[in-house]
Amino acid sequence: MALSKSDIVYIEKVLSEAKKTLYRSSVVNHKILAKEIEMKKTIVLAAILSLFMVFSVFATGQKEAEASSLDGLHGTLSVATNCEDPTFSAVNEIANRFMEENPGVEVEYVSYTKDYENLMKAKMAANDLPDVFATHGWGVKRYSEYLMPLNELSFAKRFTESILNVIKTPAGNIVTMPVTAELSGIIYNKDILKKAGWDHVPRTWDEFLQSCEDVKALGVVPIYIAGKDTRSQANLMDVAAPTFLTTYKNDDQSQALYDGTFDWDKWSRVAGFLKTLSDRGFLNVDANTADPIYRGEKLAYGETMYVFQNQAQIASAWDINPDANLSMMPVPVYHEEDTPIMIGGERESYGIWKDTKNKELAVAFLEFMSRPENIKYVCEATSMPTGFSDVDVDLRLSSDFKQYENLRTFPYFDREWLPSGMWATMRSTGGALTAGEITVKQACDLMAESYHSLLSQQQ
Amino acid sequence: MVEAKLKRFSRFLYADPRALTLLTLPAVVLFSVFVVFPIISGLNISFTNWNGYSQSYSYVGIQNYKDLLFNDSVWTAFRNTLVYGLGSTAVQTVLGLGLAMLLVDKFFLRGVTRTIVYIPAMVAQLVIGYIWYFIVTYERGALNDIINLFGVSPIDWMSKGNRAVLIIMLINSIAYCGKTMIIFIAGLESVPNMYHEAASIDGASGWQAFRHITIPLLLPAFTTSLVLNIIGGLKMFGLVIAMTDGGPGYATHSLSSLINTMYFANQRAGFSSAIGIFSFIFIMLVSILLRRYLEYKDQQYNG
Repeated sequence: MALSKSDIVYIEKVLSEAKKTLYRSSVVNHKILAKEIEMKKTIVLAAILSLFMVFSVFATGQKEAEASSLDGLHGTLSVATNCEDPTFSAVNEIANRFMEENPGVEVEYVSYTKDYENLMKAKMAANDLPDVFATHGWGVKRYSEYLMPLNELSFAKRFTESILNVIKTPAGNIVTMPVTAELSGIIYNKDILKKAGWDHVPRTWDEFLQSCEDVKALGVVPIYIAGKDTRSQANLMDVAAPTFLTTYKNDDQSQALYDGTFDWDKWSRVAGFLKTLSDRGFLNVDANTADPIYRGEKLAYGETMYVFQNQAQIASAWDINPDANLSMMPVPVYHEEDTPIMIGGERESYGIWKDTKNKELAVAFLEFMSRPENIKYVCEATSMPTGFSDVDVDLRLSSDFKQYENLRTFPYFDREWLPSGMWATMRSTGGALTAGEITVKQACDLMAESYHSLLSQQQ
Repeated sequence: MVEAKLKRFSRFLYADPRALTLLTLPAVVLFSVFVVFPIISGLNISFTNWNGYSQSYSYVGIQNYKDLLFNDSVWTAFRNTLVYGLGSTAVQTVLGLGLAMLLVDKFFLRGVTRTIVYIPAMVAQLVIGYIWYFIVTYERGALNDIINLFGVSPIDWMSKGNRAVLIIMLINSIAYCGKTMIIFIAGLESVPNMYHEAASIDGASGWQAFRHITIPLLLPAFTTSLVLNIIGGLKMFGLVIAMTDGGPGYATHSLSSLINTMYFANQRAGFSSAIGIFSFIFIMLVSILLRRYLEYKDQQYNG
């Protein structure tokens, strides 16, 4: 079909119209796109601006609080610990009183319980510690590298002699302030002991084993070990070890332990003791898997005779059953001519980070805590004795403790005579011994291996 | 001068295709900071006797690696990790495949059932561990109550190392069988229907069809599940800590939980790093072997 000229002209016209329309629509499309981009930019800008405003509100809020107190102490103090109730609530109350007295101060008091030690190790490695932190018995042996000496502070002269021994570094620096102190032996049930025919607490380990035999005959579990947490087995060895190795003057291994020449076959006395308890059936059946939450009720309802824990455990048992006739007995001894001992040292104790930016505030907080009424409050709330010589604490067991006043006090074995880090080996060997996974000789070898590698770390 | 340089750079940015490699910069930075640097740092620490928190340490050469070779707890942890990984794979293959076959066909509550089976996989390992601890515990545990009904006296389930490892492996399998089920459902749905039709025409029984059609074609899904489970076994931490804390002794540790215990509890950061490097090499070997195997299989099917 041939196209006439008028057809061609018509087709050209249509095509040019189409081109124009397309061009216009593409311009419109571009305009729409441009508008869309404009809109998106505005929205993003608005979002960013609003975020800035939100943040600035927070920033100014804080500055306002700090600026409002022109005189007196002001700032934020970070305090960390590992304790649980009742200790945590008691110290928290002291922190609240401190904040009441100093309105410009904010005390951030936190407890990390089981995670505390690991967290503190990570923080130490990063050299980024809280202003004030708990040293739980390890002020000298572990944390001293990061603690500020407290010798110049007002409370430094008020400590008892025995506590001073454990909180002073070899160079003579007091590195931590004990709020509550440790004074324990073995928890026991007075009623069951009497029922088993004993009129006095066992004085030597032989007597102790005999008492376990008598208690077992009554159908009561002689010793309760919450072994899922291997600190239970380790604590038993920690409490008993001094009597086997360092308390008897004619057989004192202290020097050998300090200078690395200790004969680790002698540890078989301690490891062997734990194994004997397990082999003779004096431990609970589930000694390897029981959780510590069962300890309190076992004591409270008289289902067990002895527990190797400190006084806080008695307090928790009394929470369940206030009438349980529980008390603390001194640690029996290995040598016939030796005398029983008590275990002593720091319990809840706070030190100041030597690179803290809040030095004035931290010192003020510790000095506030050291006031006799505050120390008395915490000790009575937690049923623990104190390390201050001028504070009189009234505890339910005070009358019992009167009879043990003149007994010697020794620290926990691993805090004094072992390098830091051996607690873990005591835990794992303790757990393996009660589970029958290793022999006593193997336990001694593992302890020796750990001891030498950790000692060399200190050089 | 500066202006000219800026102009040249912006032209490079917009015009040269090689400039696109700059887009990888954020990923490279993240990778270097979170992967490369820690590995180098860990390698460095493995040659020291650092205790994990002091500001100083000294170098002890390859002592940590020598200790590693002769340390029973490391080899127990290694064996346990393989049990947790491979054992879980075996149990989960049976469980997951069974569940997948039940839940692949459409029925009224299929979606709900699949969700319910999958939910435990979303719960944190630590939580699963604690819940199961109170089921298997000696003192008033649910499991002991059940066997009591049959007149059996209570058993301390977690007190023997081997039994405890087995129990942890079973719990891990039950908890994560939802994930394996999903993988096998995807695998089952990818089997073309025509194979099954052809088999039924040829007179094959259900079991024969399953053995000769379904299982071979599920091999890719099985391999995926194997890889994920081995990785899971290597990462096993929360469950071990919650149920036994690695005990009794060191019997139930996996490599991850042992590294953690050695570092924090035993204060042997150098030794812990050496175990970490050992795990790293093991994982690398496993990955290389698996990749070679998958490439070979890929060539077989698609070559």
